[in-house]
Amino acid sequence: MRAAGERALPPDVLVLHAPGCTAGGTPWRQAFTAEGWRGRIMAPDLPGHGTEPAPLGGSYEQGLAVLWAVRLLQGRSDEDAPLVVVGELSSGWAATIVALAGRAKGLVLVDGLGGPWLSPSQLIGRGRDLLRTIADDPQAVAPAPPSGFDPRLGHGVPSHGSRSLAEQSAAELAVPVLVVESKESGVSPDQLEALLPHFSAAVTTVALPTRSPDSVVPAIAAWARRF
Amino acid sequence: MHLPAPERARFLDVNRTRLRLWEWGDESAPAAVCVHGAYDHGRMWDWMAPRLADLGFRVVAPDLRGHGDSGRLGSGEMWAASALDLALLARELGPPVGMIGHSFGAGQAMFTGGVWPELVRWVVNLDGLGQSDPPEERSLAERAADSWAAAERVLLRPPRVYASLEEMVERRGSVNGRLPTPWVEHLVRHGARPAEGGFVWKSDPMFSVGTPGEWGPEYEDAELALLTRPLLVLTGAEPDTWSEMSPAQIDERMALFDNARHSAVDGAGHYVHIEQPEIVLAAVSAFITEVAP
Repeated sequence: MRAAGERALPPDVLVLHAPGCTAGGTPWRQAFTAEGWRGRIMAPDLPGHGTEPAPLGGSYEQGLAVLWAVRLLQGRSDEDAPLVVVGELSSGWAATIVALAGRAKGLVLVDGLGGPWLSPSQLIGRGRDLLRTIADDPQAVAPAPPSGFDPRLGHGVPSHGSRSLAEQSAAELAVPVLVVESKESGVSPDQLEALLPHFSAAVTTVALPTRSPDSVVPAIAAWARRF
Repeated sequence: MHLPAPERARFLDVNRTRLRLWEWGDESAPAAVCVHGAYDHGRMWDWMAPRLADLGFRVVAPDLRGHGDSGRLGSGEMWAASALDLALLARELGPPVGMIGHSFGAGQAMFTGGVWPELVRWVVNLDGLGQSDPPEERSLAERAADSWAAAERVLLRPPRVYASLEEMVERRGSVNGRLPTPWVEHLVRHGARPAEGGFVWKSDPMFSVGTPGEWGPEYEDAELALLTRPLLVLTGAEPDTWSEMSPAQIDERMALFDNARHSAVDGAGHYVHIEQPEIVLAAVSAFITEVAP
């Protein structure tokens, strides 16, 4: 227990990088280190990226990043420094779940709100088309390579496309949120404007030309200092 | 109860996993794939499969990924990957194949046939039209916290060890109260493996770990509606665990299909093919004769 008046610990950060990013968490680790982030930096290579082998069973689902976070955060308690969780592209949903589950004190979504918004039948159709494409790619269903880029990831891991899910999660998030949007976001500026009123906690938006860690991390650091 | 062992058993490396396959019948005959339900395994077809083989099929019953002797799971979100397993299995066997599924496996058979209609000739669904879809009362945050707790249980703690197979029979019997005890013993005998201190279920505990996301009745209907191949649905008429849809709800689901017929089987609950095997066999035989003479 910290005594009254004692300075709060600088926050730790957990980054769940975008699926398909061959470098894994390395650029994020480097960017946070270069920024002088004072808390613990956790930016692991997710399964099938960087030095991590492909996941058991060889398929990539959004829940994989949540499981990785569970492993990394085991044993943490209220005595630890507060945690900021960062989710990039479709890993934004995993980061949102970490925050919704009460495991983080701040959430950063880097092009991670989801989108583009589609109807249920359109989303089912998207999933069908993706499965058919994977089935027809011999490399994507062959055993995963022990290292290097996994061809299965070349087919992408789509972000969730449900506007109602985005609105519901925005309403239920109880921690400050930083929304970093670049031109690669699945959400248009108009859709973002429509979504913002659904946030019940403080939300800050930052528009950047790219979502490269070197661009994004200074914005995260500035935001984290405020909260 | 004595059920003969399958005529053949092998493993198939497919879609980055290893599937245990149980087989009956002439290997040159058209294939019919029997797909078990959640937490079950391919040996649940030990009565039905040889009789389907007698109808002129090469019958193949896989242990789905995360079940039986097949490969383990990376996450609980295995629905799409498992359907891809079945599609590639169908290609290996020689499409189009027939598919008979129970419960979760029926959903897998319908989804596979919906995504790859060219690989599936017909589908028999045994009490697997889905749940009754009560409105989700838990908040997203509660579901996320539950999901986190489930993941911690599976990732950070050892699986439950049962002291004996008899203890597992008692447990399984308490969940599926309508299943005849000899069948419970059969499913347990082939669904358990020795572990230090006793036995554990073969099914991967990771199967129970999901994460909240974009799903609901509209998504389920859209997915079911992908299926255009001939479909026979047999549901148990008796109330049972995992068999909770009302006749009206069943009718609503059936209306999603253009090429489907449904019968409710008296004297059966969720395990309709185990409780009333002769009736199910006769219905399946008549259906196949109708749609694939």
